[in-house]
Amino acid sequence: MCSCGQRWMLSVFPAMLTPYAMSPSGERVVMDDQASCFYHSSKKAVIPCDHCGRFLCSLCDMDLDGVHLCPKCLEDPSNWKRIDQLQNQRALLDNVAIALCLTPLVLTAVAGMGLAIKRWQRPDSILDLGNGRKVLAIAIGLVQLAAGGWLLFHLRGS
Amino acid sequence: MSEQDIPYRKIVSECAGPFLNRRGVYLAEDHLLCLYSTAFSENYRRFYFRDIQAIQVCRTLGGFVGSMLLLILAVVLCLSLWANELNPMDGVVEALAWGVVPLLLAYMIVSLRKGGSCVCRVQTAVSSQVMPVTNVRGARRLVEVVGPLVEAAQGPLTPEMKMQLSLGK
Repeated sequence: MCSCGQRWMLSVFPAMLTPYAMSPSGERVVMDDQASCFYHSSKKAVIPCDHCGRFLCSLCDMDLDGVHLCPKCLEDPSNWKRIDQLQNQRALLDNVAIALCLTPLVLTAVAGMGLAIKRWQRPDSILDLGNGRKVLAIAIGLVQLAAGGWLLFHLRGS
Repeated sequence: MSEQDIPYRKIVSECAGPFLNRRGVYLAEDHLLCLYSTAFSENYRRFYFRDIQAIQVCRTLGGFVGSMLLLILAVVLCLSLWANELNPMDGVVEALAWGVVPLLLAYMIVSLRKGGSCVCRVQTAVSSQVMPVTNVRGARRLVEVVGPLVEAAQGPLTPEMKMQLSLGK
């Protein structure tokens, strides 16, 4: 129990005590024939970018589990698809497809049932054929809504 | 290995809204995946085991307050049903009450089984992220499953480390 009265549970791991690692700042170019970083001409190149091939110093090298990128390539969203660790969002197009198929089902059901209920008292045909077809329309609408609800329930489940 | 090949194991999953909204925590070989999903898109946040410094679970009053409100509502509806027997008023109101009271009681039972509400955070060197886990049972399961994996990645806490932590680093 904390002094504020709240009950809480804390699990601590050794990383809490690990000192913050300083990132390498890059070695300076010593000799004229040494390759230099594309972004820092005074720093020695250690690795090329895996995407654009530019030479990078240890400061500019962005290592993502073995894939080395320069800052420019890392900024470009078109590269994110190639690197699993950078995929932070996906569109669920399968749900979009199901929604596109279900929406007319629900809309037509509601429209048909509404029309049948609204016109219940007023005969449409001059022959006054009764409300049998309106009952059928309402029944079909209910089946459509039930089918849509069942599919939606299964979508949530999956 | 592509994302398709990474098998994710579900640890905690919750429904977050009426429109297929989901959130949950999933386990991969070397990291946790926090999933925030709407009907048509998913957002992810990853926490690698080597980076996790601590997992905090703090109980909140939200679940208790919500359960009490539902209980009061159920009692009021029961009283209205009892009064309705003495002085019948409206069949629709009675039907509504009979339909709602069992639902309220069922929801309360489910909430009680989940152990109440809480806030669960994962702390790293650069962030303190609230996890998509809002009940105590799910948080306990998260700690039980993830704790050993983090210890396997970082090593166990030695007595010297515990001493350092108790002295405030």
